[in-house]
Amino acid sequence: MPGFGEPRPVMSREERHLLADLFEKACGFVLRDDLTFVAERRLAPRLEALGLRDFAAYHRFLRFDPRGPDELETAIDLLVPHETYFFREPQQLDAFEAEVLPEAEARARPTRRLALWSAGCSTGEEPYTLAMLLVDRPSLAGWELDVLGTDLSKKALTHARRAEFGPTALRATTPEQLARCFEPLTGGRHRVKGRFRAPVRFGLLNLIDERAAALLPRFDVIFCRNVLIYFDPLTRRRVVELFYERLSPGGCLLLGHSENLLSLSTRFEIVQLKGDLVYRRP
Amino acid sequence: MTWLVADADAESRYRALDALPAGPAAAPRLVEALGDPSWRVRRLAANRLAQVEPTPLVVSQLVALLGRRGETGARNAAASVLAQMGEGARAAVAGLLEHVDPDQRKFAADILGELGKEEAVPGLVAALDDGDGNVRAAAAEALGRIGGGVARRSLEGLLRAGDPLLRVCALEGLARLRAPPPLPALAPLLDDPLTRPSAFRLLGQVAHPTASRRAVLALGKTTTRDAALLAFASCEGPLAGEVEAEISVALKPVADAARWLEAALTSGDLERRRGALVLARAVRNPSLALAMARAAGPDGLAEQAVEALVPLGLAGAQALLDGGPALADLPGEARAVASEAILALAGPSLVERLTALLGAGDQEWAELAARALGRTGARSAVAPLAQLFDDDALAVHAYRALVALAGSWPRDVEAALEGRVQGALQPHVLRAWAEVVGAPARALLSRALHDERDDVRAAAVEASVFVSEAPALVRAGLMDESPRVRRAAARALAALPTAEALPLLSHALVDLDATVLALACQVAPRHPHPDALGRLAELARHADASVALSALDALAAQGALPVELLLRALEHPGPEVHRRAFELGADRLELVPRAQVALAHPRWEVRAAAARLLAVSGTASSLEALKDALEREGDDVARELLGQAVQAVAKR
Repeated sequence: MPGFGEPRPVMSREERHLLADLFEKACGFVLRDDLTFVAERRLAPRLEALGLRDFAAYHRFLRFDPRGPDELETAIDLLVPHETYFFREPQQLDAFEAEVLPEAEARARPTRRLALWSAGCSTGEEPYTLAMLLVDRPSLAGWELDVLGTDLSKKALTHARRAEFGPTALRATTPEQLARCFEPLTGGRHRVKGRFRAPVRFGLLNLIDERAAALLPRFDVIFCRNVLIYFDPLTRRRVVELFYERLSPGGCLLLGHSENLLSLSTRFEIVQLKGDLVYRRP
Repeated sequence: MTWLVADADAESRYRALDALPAGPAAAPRLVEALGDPSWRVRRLAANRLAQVEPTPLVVSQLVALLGRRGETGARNAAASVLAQMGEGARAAVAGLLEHVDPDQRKFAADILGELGKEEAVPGLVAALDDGDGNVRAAAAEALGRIGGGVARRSLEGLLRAGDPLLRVCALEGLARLRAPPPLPALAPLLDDPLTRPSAFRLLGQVAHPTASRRAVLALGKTTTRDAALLAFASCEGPLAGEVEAEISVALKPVADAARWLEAALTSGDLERRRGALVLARAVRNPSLALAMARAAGPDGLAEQAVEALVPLGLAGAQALLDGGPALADLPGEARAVASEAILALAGPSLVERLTALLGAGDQEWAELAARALGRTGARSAVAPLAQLFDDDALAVHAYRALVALAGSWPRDVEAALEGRVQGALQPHVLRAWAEVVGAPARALLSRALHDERDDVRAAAVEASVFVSEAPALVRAGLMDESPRVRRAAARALAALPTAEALPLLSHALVDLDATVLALACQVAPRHPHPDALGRLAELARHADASVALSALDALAAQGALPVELLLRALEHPGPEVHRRAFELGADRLELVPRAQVALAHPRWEVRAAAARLLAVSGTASSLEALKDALEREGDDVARELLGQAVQAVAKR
C-alpha cells in the first residue's frame, strides 16, 4: 500500500475508463477524461484508507470486495460535483414566479396543494430557494406546500438538512433576501430560517433507479438544473422520461440554461415564456 | 398569464423528422428540413445529415442552400453539415470561392477551414486578395486552422497588411498554429492597440529572452498589462528562474498588482487564468494562494495550479488553511488542488491550523487534515490524531498518520494510544498499537480475537504480523465463523514465514467463501510451492470471476500458467477474466486467433486487451482484423490501442 512520502497513484486512461464504466452503471454519472486530475486527488485518500496501491486495485475492490458497493457510493459522492448556490439563474426564477407559478396555482386551486421537485438538489440550495419564493407569496397563503429535494449523495443531503451555508452558496443572494430568509451564524455562515425549512424535505434518490423513482408522487413543477450534463445520452433520455411520468398533466420541467431536451424527448411541449423556456407535459 | 406554446406545428415536424429511418433515403427530407423555420427542427436535421454519406447529390443540395439569401438559418445549418462531411464535400465547397456572391465565398472559406485539408490552401491564399473584406478575413482564419508551410508564409505576409482586421486574423492564425513570425515582424504589432492582444499571445510562443523581456516590461504598464498576461498564458512549460525574478521585480511597484492578479486568477476566462497562474508562481505572494487554487477551474488547469502553489512553501499552506469559509467553499477542482498543496507542504508549523481544520465540520477537509498531520513529522500532531479514533471515517487516517509519526516520536505515540487500548477495543487502535509497540501487543491481540465484533477480530488478525506467535493468531482467524476475519487472516498470510504460512495457505485455498479464496490466491505467490499449483489451477476455473482472476495471476507469477488454462479462461462468463487472460498470455501464439475474434467482443476492455496482445504477438495475418476493428471501434481507449497495434503489426 502507498505509504507517507510515496508518490500519489496516477490514474491511467484505461483505469479511468474502467472506473467510469462502474460509475455510469451505478448512477449514470460520466467520469470524463478531463476529470482525471480531480478523480486522482479525491480518490487518493480512499486508496490510502483501503490500503490499495493503485487504481487498478481500487477497480478490483469496487468490483469484487464485499465492501465494494458501499465504496462505490463513497467514490461517486466524492466525484459528482455538488456546487450550487441560492437564487441561481435569477431570470429563470423570475419567469417561474411570474408565469409558471400562476398557471400551476390555477390548476392546483381545488386541492390548495402545490408539489415541487428539485431533482439532483445537491446540498439543498435549490429547494430552499424554491421555498423562499413560495412561502411569502400571498396567493399561496394557507396552501400546503411541498418541496422535495433529492440527490444520490448522502453527504450532500446531510449538509442540506443542516441548512447552514457559507459565502459561496450565498454569492447571488441579495442583502434583502439574506435578511428575509437567513439567520446569521459565525464565520460568515448563515442558516435558512425555520419557515423556509418547513416545506422542504429531502430524500436519497438515484435518478436511474426506476423502482425507487416509482415511489415518487406527481409534481406540479420539476427543477432539474445542471444535472443532466453529467449523464450519458441514454441515461438522460431515461431520466427525462421519468420526469415526464412524475409530472402532473400541465406540469412543467425547468432545466439549466445550458441544457435542453433536443434529441432526448419529443413528448414535452416547449413553452416560450417572456424570460425563459420551459418544457410542459401536455 | 402569457403562455405561448412556441409552435405546435414545429413539434409535429420535429417528431416526424425524428421518426425518419437512418440511411441515405432520408437525405432529401433532411436537406429540406434545414430550411425549417424552427431552429430545433433545423438542428435535428443537421445532426442527422452529418451522419449521411456525402454523395454528390446531397453535397450539391447543401451547396445550393448556401445561396438562399434571406434564409440565414438554412444557410448556417447547411454550412455546419458541409463542415462535418469531410473530404467528400471539399471540392464542391472550394468551387464556391469563385462565386459571385461574397456571402457564399465567405461560407466556402469558413467551411474549408473547418475541413482542415491542406489541398484547400491555394484557393484560400488566392482569396486573401478577394475584393470583400469579410472573405479575406475568413480566408486568413481558415489558413490558420489548416496550417502547413504555405499557409504560414501567407499569414506572415499578412502581418504587413493595411487592413488591421487582416493583421489580427493573421496573428491569431499563427498563434493557433504555434508558428511565431520573426521578432522584427511581430514587434511593431505589440504597440498597436488593435493588434496588441493577439501579438502578445504570439510573443509568448517565442522562446527567446528578448521576447520574454518584452512581455515582462509590458506588465509594468496599465495599458499593456492585460495583453502581456496573454503572452504568459501561451508560453509552454514553466518559466526560467531569471524570468520569474524579472516578473516579480516588474510587478513590485504596481500598486494594485495583487488585486489585478487575483481578478485574473478567478476570472471565467481560461486563458487569463492560465497566464495569471504563471505570474502568480513567479511573484510568490501567499495572499493569492486561495485564488490560485480557484484558478484550477473545471477546465484542466489543476496541475498548473498545484505547480504554482507549492513554491509558496509553508506560507502558502498557511494562507490556504487560514482561508476559513473561503476554504470550506472551494469547489471540487480547487479543493483537489489545495489538498495536494497542503499535503506537499505539511510541516510542524501547520499543526495548529490542521487541528483546527479537523473540527471545522467538513468531513473531506477533516480527512485531509488527518493525513497532513501525519506528514508534519511534528510531536504536537500526535495528541490531536489520537482523538480521531471515535470517528469511523477519520480513524483509518489517524492510524496511518500515527504510525508515520511513531518513526520520530515512538514514546509519544505509544503513550497516546495506551489509554485507548484499555477499554472497548477499536480496530484501528489495535492496528496502530501493534504496529507501534510490536511484540508487547501480543496479549491485547489475543484478547481481541475473542471480541464479539468481527471487525475487531479481523483487525487483531491483520495486526498479528507485528507480534511474535503470529501463525497461531492467523490460524485462529482462518477458523473464525466470519468471512471478514478469515479474509484478514488470508491477507496476513503474506507476512508469515513460508514454512509456517504453507499449511495455513492450503487451508485458506479450500475456504468456502469466494472472497477468502481470492485473497488466498493473491497471497500464494509469496509462498510458492508445487503442491499449491494444482489447487490454483482448479481455482482458475472457479465460477467467481474474482477467484478465477486471482488464481490466474498467482499461477502466472509462479511461471506455472499453462496455455490450456488461458484458453479455458476465455470461456469464463466474466469479461474481466477474458481481459486478464489476454494480458497474461500476451506471449502465447495460441491466443492470437482468439484475440482476433475478441476484437469484436461487446466489452471495450476485452477488445483493448486483445489489441494489446496482438500488438506484441500478432502476425501479418492479424493486420486485416485489426484494421477492420479499428474502422468500427467506437471507444476512444480501445481505438488508441488498436491504432498502436495496427502500427506495430504493420512493421513486422
